[in-house]
Amino acid sequence: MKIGSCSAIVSMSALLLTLLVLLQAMGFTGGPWDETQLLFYGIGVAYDLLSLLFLLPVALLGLVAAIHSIGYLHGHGAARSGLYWFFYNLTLAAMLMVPLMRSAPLFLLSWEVMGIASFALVIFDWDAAASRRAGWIYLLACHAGAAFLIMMFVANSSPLSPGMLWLPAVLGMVGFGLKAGFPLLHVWLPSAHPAAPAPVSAVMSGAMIKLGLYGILRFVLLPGDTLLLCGWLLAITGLLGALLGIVLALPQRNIKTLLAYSSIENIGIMTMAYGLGVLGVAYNVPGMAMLGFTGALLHMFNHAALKGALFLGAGAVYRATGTLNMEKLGGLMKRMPWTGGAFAANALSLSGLPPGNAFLGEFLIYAAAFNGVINGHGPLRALSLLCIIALATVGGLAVAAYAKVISAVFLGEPRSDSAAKAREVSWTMCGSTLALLLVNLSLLCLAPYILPMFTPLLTRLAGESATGFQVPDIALLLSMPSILSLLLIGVTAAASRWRQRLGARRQDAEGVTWDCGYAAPSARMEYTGTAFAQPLLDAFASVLKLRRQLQRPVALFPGEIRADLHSQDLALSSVWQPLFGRFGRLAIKTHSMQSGFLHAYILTMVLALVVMLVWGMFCHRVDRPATPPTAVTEEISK
Amino acid sequence: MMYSVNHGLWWTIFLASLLLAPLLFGIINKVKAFFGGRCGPRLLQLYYDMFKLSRKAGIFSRTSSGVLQLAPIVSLLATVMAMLFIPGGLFRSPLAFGGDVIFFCYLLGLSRMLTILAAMDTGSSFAGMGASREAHFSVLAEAVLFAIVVFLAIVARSICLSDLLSPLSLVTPGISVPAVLLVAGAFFIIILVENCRLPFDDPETHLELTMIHEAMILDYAGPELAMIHYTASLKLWSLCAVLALLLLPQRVGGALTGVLAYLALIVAFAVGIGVVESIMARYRFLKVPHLLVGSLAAVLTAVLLLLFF
Repeated sequence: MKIGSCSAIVSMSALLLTLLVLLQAMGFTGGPWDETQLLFYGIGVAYDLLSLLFLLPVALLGLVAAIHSIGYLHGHGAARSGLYWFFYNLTLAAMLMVPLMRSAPLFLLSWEVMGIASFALVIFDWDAAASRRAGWIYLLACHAGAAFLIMMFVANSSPLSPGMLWLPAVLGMVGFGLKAGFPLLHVWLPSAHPAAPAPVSAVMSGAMIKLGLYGILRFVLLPGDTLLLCGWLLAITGLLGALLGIVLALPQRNIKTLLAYSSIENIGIMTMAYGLGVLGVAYNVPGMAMLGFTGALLHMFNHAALKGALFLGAGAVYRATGTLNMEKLGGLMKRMPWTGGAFAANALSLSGLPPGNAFLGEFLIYAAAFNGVINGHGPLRALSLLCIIALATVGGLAVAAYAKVISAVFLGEPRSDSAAKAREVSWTMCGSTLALLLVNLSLLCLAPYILPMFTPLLTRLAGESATGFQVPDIALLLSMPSILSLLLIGVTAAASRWRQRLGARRQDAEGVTWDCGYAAPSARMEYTGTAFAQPLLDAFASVLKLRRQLQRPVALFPGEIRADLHSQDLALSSVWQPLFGRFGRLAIKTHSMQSGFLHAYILTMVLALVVMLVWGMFCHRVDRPATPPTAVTEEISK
Repeated sequence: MMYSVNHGLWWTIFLASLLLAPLLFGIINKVKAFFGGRCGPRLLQLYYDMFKLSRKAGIFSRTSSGVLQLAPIVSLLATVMAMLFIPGGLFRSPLAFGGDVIFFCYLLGLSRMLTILAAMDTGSSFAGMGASREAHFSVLAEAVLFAIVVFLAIVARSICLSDLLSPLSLVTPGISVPAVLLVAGAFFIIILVENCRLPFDDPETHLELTMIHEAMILDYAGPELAMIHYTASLKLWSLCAVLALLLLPQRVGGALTGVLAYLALIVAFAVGIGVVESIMARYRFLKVPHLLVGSLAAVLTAVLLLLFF
């Protein structure tokens, strides 16, 4: 176990340093995108700026989550910890390989290893039925994704008629979308994240699902006729994903399920930004292209560090209280001030509000959409308008969702004994969350300075047409919000310090919360997270398939009164369950063919052969006589 | 003619608005008193209240955990920072940058988020109710606000607040007057929602169950309550200022007439809010989203009018 944790930490720190050095070398000297630096010439292993940028979250979260794991695994047996570290390192190794592999077989190999190794981590808690079910869904999603990717590579390498050029793009979008968590393809995320240990969720949500977007950038977005189709697909998928993700996040009671749905939302925002970028290229709106791609990349980094920190915070809460159910938590801010403070700051930031780093990415995406509204025409303008309104709505809903998490988990009075007895977690768990908070703060300060490093990649993505709108312009655009956000943080800190001193001088008092004169308010009188979200849930009742269970008060001295709200995932309950149910029933019908007699099987095979023979004859009869006669006539004419 | 750049005058107007903002509540209350046939509180009552409160010691709920204390400070600072981007009268904001309108809207969002968290920090069920309603309405209000920004961005071809509200923008030939009126109407509704005024929220209700904003701040006293009152008046001022700039007559004579017209319009909106509050009853909570969705539809209609007529 010691070897496992040490190897993970040392290798990831080394990788992080290597990446920073390589980025420094490549970015500023302008190492271009496709002039790849070959590591092993001939077998298709190479790196370029795109690979390095997507490797950065892997290295960062791999390192921080490994430190967190030490505390998280404390108390588990050596055998289970050993298994954990084996698969943790394997997953990280595979995630490292994915952006470096260029040839289809090697890429698919590392992609599959990544899926299977992380599957083992998802079922870490294999005694629980829910974990096994989550792992099963995850495994299915991985393999379905890989199947689509194999088809995509085959379609890419085979000559296609002009009418079929869309096929590889759509196949790739589905295959990579299954990993990234596109709407409808997202069903594995909300079940796998709560089942997996928190550090694994952090790595998966912060780094792994982004590799799906990497795949789209590398293998699907190829210059040519399909660019327009890809742009529209990405933008609309992203828009729907962002809305669906955050609406489904609202009713969740489990912290990690809510965070998983929020990942779907953020992947949606990134996808939408990539879509806007691609459409900017396709419709020749250079500003929109540049802003869209830059915003998407920046939001990827912000989301990686923020969501990683939030999952680690959730892990700390789980270790301290033994539950992830928000209705059983509360009041943890006073009991776990470091974890609570870091979680609240990160959640505030991820909801897209200004002094947070996520605002900077969303700011650029807004700017891209506004650019489309101002400079675009026709459908592009309509789409940009929709994107702006969707972003604003998603922002409002994200505020509600994160206000719900922060207040239900950390504020108010504890709603259970285990929450009341919670203590601050060990320094490895606490420190890793705080380290990521520091990363977020530095992203806020440094974003305008980091952006010029992306220049070669961005000019490559946004095309040569983007000469009018350069990366330094965007960096300049970002510097104002960045500086003002820092100013706001600084002034707030100074003002609250001053207020505390004033309070000490005037002897500020403590009292009971006002509850209409009732002097002994208890946690049972508090608003719960579900109650907080209920008006919004009612507004989206049809999407959430909301079911309400009310046990009304009866008689003069009523006994127990209950109110429950249950929601369902639209994709699972109306698409996949009916579909797989139908497939299952169809499969059962074929049981009748399984008679157990060898003769019957041979007969079936012969019949199948005959059918094939007839089909082959009918299909090729037209072609075969057609070719030789022409050859013959040509020879004759000679 | 674009905005003139005069930083000295802009800062003067900025400081004046920091001073004058609480007056708006005095005006609203006077108008309501006039309709009610009462004498009403003095015009400067809020100043007296704030002065009195700011000299007291604070008192905080035992349940709370620091968020309650932090929230009024952040709200106040965020609102002041948002005001930095509003062009004062005819003068461009010195801090204006491309995209500052997004920053402006999100700073108001930050102020709201902190108020919600502080309400939940007290553990009170009334505060929870208020916070829950606030979060619900703000989702729709945000969408309407950004739709309005889109309309202005198409007209001004910019996303800088100082350009968006340039008096030139609404005289550009080819912009239909109905579109402008629809947008202004929607913005007035946004002012009412964002500042928790009737018909969305009754600032004078005495029943905790029916409150929104008042329920969230039930547990505040002393300097914190003064800060919250001040923040509320600054928010009302800044949104009224934006609407005033939007509707300012295109050719106001010199700088002085321009500034006077600007201030007069802000006062006129305060009177308008007073009139609305005197003649309307509060909507049922279930009806509020309908009104907001309706105003979103109005703004989208305005965008269509702008693009196709």
